[in-house]
Amino acid sequence: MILHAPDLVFLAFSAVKAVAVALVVLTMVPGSVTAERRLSAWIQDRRGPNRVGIPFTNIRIFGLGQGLADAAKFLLKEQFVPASVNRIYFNLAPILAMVPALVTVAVIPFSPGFDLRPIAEWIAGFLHWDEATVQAFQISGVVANLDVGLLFVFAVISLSVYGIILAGWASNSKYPFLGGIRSSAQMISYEIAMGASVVPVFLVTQQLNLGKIVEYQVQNGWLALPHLRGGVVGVLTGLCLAFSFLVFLVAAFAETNRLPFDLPEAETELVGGYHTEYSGMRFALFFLGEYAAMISASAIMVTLFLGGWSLPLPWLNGLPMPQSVFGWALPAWLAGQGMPWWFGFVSVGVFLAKILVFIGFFIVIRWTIPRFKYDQLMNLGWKVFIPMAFVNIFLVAALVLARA
Amino acid sequence: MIRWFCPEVLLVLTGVTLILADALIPPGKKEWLPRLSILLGIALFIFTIWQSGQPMPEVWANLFVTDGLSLVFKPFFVLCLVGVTLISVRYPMGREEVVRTEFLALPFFSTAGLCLLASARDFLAIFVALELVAISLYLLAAFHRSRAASLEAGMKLLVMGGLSTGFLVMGIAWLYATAGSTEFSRIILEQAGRPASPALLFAVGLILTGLAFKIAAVPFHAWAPDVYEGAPTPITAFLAIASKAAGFVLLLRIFCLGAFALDSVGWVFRPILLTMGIATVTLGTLAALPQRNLKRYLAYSGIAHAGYMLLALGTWGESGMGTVAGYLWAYLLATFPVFIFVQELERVHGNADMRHLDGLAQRDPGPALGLTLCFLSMAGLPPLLGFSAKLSVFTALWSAGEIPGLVVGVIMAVVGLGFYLVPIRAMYWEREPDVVPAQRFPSFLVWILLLAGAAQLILGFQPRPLVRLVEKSLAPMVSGNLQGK
Amino acid sequence: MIREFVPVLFSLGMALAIALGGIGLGIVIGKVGRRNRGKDMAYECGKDPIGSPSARFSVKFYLVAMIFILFDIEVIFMYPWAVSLMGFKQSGMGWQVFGLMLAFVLLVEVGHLYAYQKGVFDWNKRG
Repeated sequence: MILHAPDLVFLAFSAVKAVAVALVVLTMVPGSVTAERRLSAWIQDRRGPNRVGIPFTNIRIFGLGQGLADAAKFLLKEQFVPASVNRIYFNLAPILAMVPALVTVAVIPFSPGFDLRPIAEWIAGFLHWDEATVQAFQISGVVANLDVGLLFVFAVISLSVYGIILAGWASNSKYPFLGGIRSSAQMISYEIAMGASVVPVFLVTQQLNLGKIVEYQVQNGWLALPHLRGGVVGVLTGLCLAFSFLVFLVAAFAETNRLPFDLPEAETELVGGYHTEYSGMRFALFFLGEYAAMISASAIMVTLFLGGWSLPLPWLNGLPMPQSVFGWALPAWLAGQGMPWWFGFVSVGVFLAKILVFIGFFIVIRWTIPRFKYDQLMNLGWKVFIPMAFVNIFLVAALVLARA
Repeated sequence: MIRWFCPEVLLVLTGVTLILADALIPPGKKEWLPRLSILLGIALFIFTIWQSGQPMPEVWANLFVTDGLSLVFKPFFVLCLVGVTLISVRYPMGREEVVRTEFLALPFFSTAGLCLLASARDFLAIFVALELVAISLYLLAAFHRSRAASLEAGMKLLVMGGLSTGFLVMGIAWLYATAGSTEFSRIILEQAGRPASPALLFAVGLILTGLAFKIAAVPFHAWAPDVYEGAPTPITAFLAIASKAAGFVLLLRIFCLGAFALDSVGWVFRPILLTMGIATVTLGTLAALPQRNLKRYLAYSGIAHAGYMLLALGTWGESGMGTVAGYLWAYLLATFPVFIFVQELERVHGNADMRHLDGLAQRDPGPALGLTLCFLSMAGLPPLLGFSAKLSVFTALWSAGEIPGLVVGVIMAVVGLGFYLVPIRAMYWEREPDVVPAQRFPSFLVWILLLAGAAQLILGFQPRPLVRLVEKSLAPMVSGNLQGK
Repeated sequence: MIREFVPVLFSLGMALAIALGGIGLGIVIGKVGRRNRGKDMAYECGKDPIGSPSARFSVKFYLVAMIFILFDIEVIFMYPWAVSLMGFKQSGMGWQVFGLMLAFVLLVEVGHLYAYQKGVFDWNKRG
C-alpha cells in the first residue's frame, strides 16, 4: 500500500489526537483523585490535602500538586511481587485493567472537528502541497471515527473484566480471589442493563456512530431531556430516554466499581479486593484504570444523552431560536449551522466541563450513599433494571413507529 | 398470519408454556403437568399430520420449504416426541415422585428443531435448527443427575456434538466461500455443469463428517453406545430414532434433493458413502454380538441400520431416497416398542441387562411375543416389515449395480439374524432365574408390545400404506409461495 | 473503512506505552527491598494463610456468567435491529419487524423469568 500525502496528514493528526486524548485523561486522573479527597473532606467537614503545590515554591494552588506527589510516590515505592503469585498474569492484570478505559475514549467525539485548512493553505504556499493534502487538514473531532462506535465501546469496556478477574486469580490469595469473582459477576450483570439502556438511543438516532449521535442531538435536542418538538409522542419519547439515561448512569457506577457498588473492593469485607496483593506502580495502574473508566463512562454519558460537545442552549432542545437577544443578532452557528473554525476548540472545553460535572457527581455520590449488600446489588441489576430496560426499549420502539 | 400456526411454532410455544407453568406454579401442585404434556403432544401430532403440507410463514420463505420430505417427516418427529413424552412420564428418576417438567418440556424444543430441519433449504437454517435439537439433547442426556452414567452421557454428547457442529460449521463456511451462498437452490445453480472445485469437495466432506456424527456412522460412531447406555431411556430412544432420522433427512435433502445433488459431487462422494455404509453395517452387526446390555445392544443395532440406509443413500438416486424414507419409518415402528420395554425393564430391575430377559416367555408371554416380532423385524425376517425395508435397500443396490455393497449387506443381514436371536433365545430357551422380582410389567406394556408386533406382521404382509408414504416423500417441492395463505 | 481503525491502534499503543512504561519505570527507579517469608505470604490480615487460596465459591457465579452470555448476545442482537427500525418503518414493515423482535425478546424473557423463579438471582438462599 502506498501512502499518499493526505493519508500521512490523517495518520499524523490521528497520532497527535491519540496522544493528546490519552494525556488529557492521564492529567485528569490525579486531578480527580485530589478533587475526590478535597470534596470528601468538605463533605465530612474537615480539611483535605491542601498543602502540596508547585514544587520548591510556597505556592499551594488548593493542593493540586498532591496528585503529582502521589504519582511520584507510586513510582518510588518497592515494586513488590509476592512469591506465591502467577507472575505472568499478575503483571498482565493491571495492564488489562487500565488499557480498555484509555482505548474507549478513542471513539468519543470531543469536538465537531477542527478546520485547519487556512493554516494548511498558508503552509502549502511554501511546500507546494496539492489540493487534496490541504483538504486533509479538515480534521475530525475524534481520534477514530468508527461507524460501529458504540459497539466498539461495549466490546472494549467488557475487556476490563478480564483485568480484574485475572488479578484476583493470579494473586493466589483468598481475598483477591473473592473480590475478583464478585467483581466479574457484578460487572457482567450491569453490562446487560447498560447495553440495553442505549438501544433507545439507536432507535431514535438510527446511528451507532457516536459523532453522528451528537450531531443528531445538536439538531434535535439532547436525548436526556424531554423533546419539546413532536407533541405528546415527543415528550413521552424524551421521558423514556431520560429513564434510559438513569439506567445507564446507575450501570456506569457498577461498571466502574464505584460506591455504592464498590463490592469488589469492599474494605470491610475483602481487605482491598482484587488488588490486595498489589503495590507500587502495578497498584497505581488499577487506580488509574478505575478513574480512567470513570472518565470514559462520563464521556459516553455526555455523548449519548447530554449532547456531547454541544452548548447547553435551550433552542438546541427543540425551541425555536430567537432572532435576537437584547437587540443583538444571534449568529447562525449557535443553532448548529456553519460553525466557525475556532468553535472546535471551544467545544472541547464544553465537553470537558460536562465530564467534570459528572466526575463531581461520582465523587459526591461516593461520599453520601452507603454501600449496597451483594444480594441487593444483584437484585437491582437482574430483577429491576434488566426487565425495565427491555420494557423501555419496546416503549421507545413503539413511540418511534407511532411518530408521524 | 395463519401461516404462523405451523407445527414448529406451536411446538416451541408448548415447550415455553410447560416451562412457564413449571416456574410459576408452586411445587406440590404440578402433578397434572405430565398429563397435560402428553395431551398437548398428541394434539400436536394430529395437528402436524393435518398441517405439515402447509407452507411456512413468509418471513421464513428463503430458509424453509414445504415438500414431500417435510410432509412425511414432520409427523415422524412429532410421533417420536409423543412416544418419548409417554415414557418420560414413567421414567424412574431417583427419589422424585413426579417427573421434572423440564424433562418433558425440552423434547418439545428439540422436536421443533427437528421439524425445522425437515424443511430447511438453507445451510444457516440447518445450523440453527440442528443446534436447537442438540442443545436440548445435551441437557436431557445429563438429566438424571444422581447417576454418574447419565452425566457421563451428557458430557460425551456435548463434546461429540460440539465437535460435529464444528465440522458442520467449518463446512458451511467453506461452502459459502466457494459457492457464494448457503441456499440450496443457489448452490445448485452456481455449481451445476462445471467440475467440482477441491474447495467445494472439501466443504461437502466436512458437512458429511458433521452429519456422520449425528447418524453415528463408522468411523464417527464411538460415542453412541456409551451415550445410549447412560442417557435416560426416553432420551436414548429419542437420540436413537429421531436424532438419527434427522441426520438422514438432512443427508437426503442435501445429497438427493438440493445443494449437492450434482454429478460432480456424486462422482467423489458416492464411493465414500458406500464405503462408509459397508463399514457401518459390518461394525454395527459384528460389535452387537457380544453386547449384554440391551441399550448398548440397541445402539449397535442402530449403527447397523444406519449402515443399510447409507448404502441406500449411496445409490444416489430417487429410489435410494425413497428407500431411506421407508426404512426410517420401519426402524421407528420396530425400535420404539423395544425402548418402551427397556424402560419398564429398568423400572423393575434397575438396569437394562439382558439377563433379565431370561425365561421371560414363561413369566410374561405377551410382551415376549411382541418383542420377538420386533426383533425379528429388525433382523429382516421375511414376512415382517423389516424384510420389506431391507429388500428395498438390496433392490436399490442391485439396480444401481453396486455389487460389493449388496454382497456385504446380504452377508451382514444373515449374521445379524444371529445376533437378533440372542434376546429371543434368552426369552424362550433360558431357564427363569430363581429370584423373580415382585413387580410385574404393567398391562399397557403388554398391549403396546402386542400391537407393535401385530404392526410388524400386518405392514409386512401389506406394506401399501408405507409405500404410499414413501411416494409422498418423493413429491416435488411445494414452493412456499404458490399455495394460498 | 479499515482506515478509520488505524487511529484505534495509536490509542492502544499509547495506552500500552503508559502501562508498560509505568511498570518499567517503577522497576527501574523504585525502592529495592528485601524479601522474607512473611512478606511473600498471601495477605490474610497478618495471620498465616489458612487452607487453599482457591476457595470454593457459590455455583451462582457460574449461573450468572452463563445467563450473562445469553442476555449479552440478545442485547447485541438488538443493536442492528434498533438502528434499522426506522428504515423498515419507511418501507411499511415497521410493526412487523417490531413484532418479530418482541417475540424474540419474550422468548428470552421466558428464560429470564424461569431463572428468576428457580432462584438463580436469590443470593440470600443457600445452594
